[in-house]
Amino acid sequence: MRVQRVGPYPIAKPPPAQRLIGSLLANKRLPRHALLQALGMLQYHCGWISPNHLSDLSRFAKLSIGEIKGIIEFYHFLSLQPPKPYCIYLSTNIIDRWQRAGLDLSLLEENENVDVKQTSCVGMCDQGGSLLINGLPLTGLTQERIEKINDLILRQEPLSQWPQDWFTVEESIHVKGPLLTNSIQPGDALNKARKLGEAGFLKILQASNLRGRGGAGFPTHLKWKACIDARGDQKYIVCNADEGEPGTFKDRLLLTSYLAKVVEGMCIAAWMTGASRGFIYLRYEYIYLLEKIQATLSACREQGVLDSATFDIEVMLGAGAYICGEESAMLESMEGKRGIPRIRPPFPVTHGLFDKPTIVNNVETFCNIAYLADDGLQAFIDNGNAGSRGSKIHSVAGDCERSGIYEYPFGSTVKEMLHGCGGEQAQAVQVGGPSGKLVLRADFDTPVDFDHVSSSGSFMVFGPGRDLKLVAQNFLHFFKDESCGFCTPCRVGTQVLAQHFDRVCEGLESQHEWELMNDIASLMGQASHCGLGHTAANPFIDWRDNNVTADSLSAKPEFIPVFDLAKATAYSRSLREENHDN
Amino acid sequence: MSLLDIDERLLDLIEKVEFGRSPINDIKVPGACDIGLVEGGLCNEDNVRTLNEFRENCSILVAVGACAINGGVPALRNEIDLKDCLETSYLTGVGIVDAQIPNDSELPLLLDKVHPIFDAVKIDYVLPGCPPPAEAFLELVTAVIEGREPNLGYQLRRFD
Repeated sequence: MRVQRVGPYPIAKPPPAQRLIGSLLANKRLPRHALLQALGMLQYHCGWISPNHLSDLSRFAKLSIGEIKGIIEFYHFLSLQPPKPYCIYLSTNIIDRWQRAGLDLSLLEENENVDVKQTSCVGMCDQGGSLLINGLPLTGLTQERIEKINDLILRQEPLSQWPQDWFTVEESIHVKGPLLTNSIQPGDALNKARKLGEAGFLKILQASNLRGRGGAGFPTHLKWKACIDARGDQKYIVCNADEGEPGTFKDRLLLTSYLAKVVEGMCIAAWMTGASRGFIYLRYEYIYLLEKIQATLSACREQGVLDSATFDIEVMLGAGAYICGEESAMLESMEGKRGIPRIRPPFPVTHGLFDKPTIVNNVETFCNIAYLADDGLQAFIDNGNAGSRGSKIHSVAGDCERSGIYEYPFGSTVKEMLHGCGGEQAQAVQVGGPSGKLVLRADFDTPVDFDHVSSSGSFMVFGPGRDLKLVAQNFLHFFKDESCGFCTPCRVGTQVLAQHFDRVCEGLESQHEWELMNDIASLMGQASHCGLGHTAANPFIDWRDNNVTADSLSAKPEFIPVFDLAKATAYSRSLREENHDN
Repeated sequence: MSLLDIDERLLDLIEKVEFGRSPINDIKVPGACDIGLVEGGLCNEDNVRTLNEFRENCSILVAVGACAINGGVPALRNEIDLKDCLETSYLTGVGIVDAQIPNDSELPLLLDKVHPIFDAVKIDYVLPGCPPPAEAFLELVTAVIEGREPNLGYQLRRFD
């Protein structure tokens, strides 16, 4: 198999998993679960999956080309088209759009050396205008910088020759709580947990009422107990680092600066369950962190925290799919397949990765485990309230003076958080990303915790001048783009909502369309296959509930056709005239 | 046409209804009517006009079958440019003799996309299926005659 570099690919430094490509070359054999990893690396290295790669992979993995294409087409970042020397991805997230407002990117769009594409949130909402170029985040965009970028691209300068400070991702931590202040001596958390014994630590875990930080808030001790009790010759620990909820970037910080803690959390899980292998499923947008993560893992091995004889951790890369943040979709993806959520039960704790008992927890949850083991129960439960113990790390972005990372105890109100970030003027805040909840000014006293407004970590601030209708429209289009397409209520429902909400934004919608959207929204909530579909109508529901009354609805026309006959036949009329002229 | 699959029950039905414009009797212009059954998606301007005539004249308008409801097979062309579509069909496709694109001004103009019928008019009921089961037609028409809401059981709505 020939791996030919295209243009200035690969970027900056050699791709960390060149090893993988190397073993491909040597063995001419590819286990199914390594397929997506190989595709990701080829994409990163060569900028596309060429027909030659396809036929080689098909032979090595013993899968049909059609099946491999099916996988490629599922993931945004994998491409079957020959690349231009550079590829830029712009985030469609509303905050990123606002950050780029005023910047003229048409220079780049017209530049023949670069493909300018769009993708969902890339986790850089606190970095000013930003983009991904050949896989790397480039932050702090200004018009001047765009012009310089354009010149470099015209000259086809390799990214390694570009000013490297353009690629820095500043970690702006504004409020540190116990989780971010606590520092653990390597191995300490694990040793302290061990001293308590498995039953002892499980008791602590239960008493702490630690709940998953990825958004769903499932009690961690129940998940772990189920996995401990599950039968299996092999068990796995998986860290979900597929931080895809638009507006979230707190895992980026944890992976950059607090990874050792995450590793200790995973080690404790491994020790409790007897798992010998762990994985970090890293979103493709954070590929720039891969090398640093590998280095931290090596350091952990040297310190003896990780030990290949008992428990070791590997990194697996996603390839651009929001749905892969859903744990069962992520497991599918890790097995090298399309990331379609599984039917549950059985749950991953009994039938997870490769059908073995698996614990899947968020990055922040593992951090909390390590903190709990290190600082003890009392310190942990001193924060938060009865239903939601501990603290939560928030990614604050949007119309506020200081966007960045804030750690607050659970139960802190929206108002307190806005005060902290200099966003007091806000008219509304989206807590927990598009699938979360819009909190209006009148409700700013609402506490952010599992019992009131639950958050996966995204906190988007909308200033007084913003049109919330456009925010809802942006979120609905996000879900339309990210629906995995497996079940009809979600695949069709997200399309219908986005399409008709566009008409709401134009002021052209009819009562009939409202009825349709209402029906679809409730159907999606009831009949979708997974959590994406269940929550995808939330932006619509929030907007409707806050803005639409029976009176405003009855003032709308009963029915409006969605297309205009004259416009719809204009093209065919012009073709006819063209033919007559000939 | 699958309405005819209600077989001998057609004889009972004909006692209660009168056919307006239909493929059976070749009436071109619909008059005032209680139920309009419309099949097929909107592919050209003529389809749109006919549908509007139906809407103006029928108290209840029913979308019949997959194409009327979703666009169906004809809507597969929505992903293809109309010009390419015509050229492949009439100029460059396999087995074409005397290649030319039909261009008579009598022919209705094609829409740039195929639309389901509720994109153009308000629809009161849908009969899903390809084709919908005969029982579904019968239930719908009977219910309207009896002045009650139709009740299409699960078996009349599942197609796998």
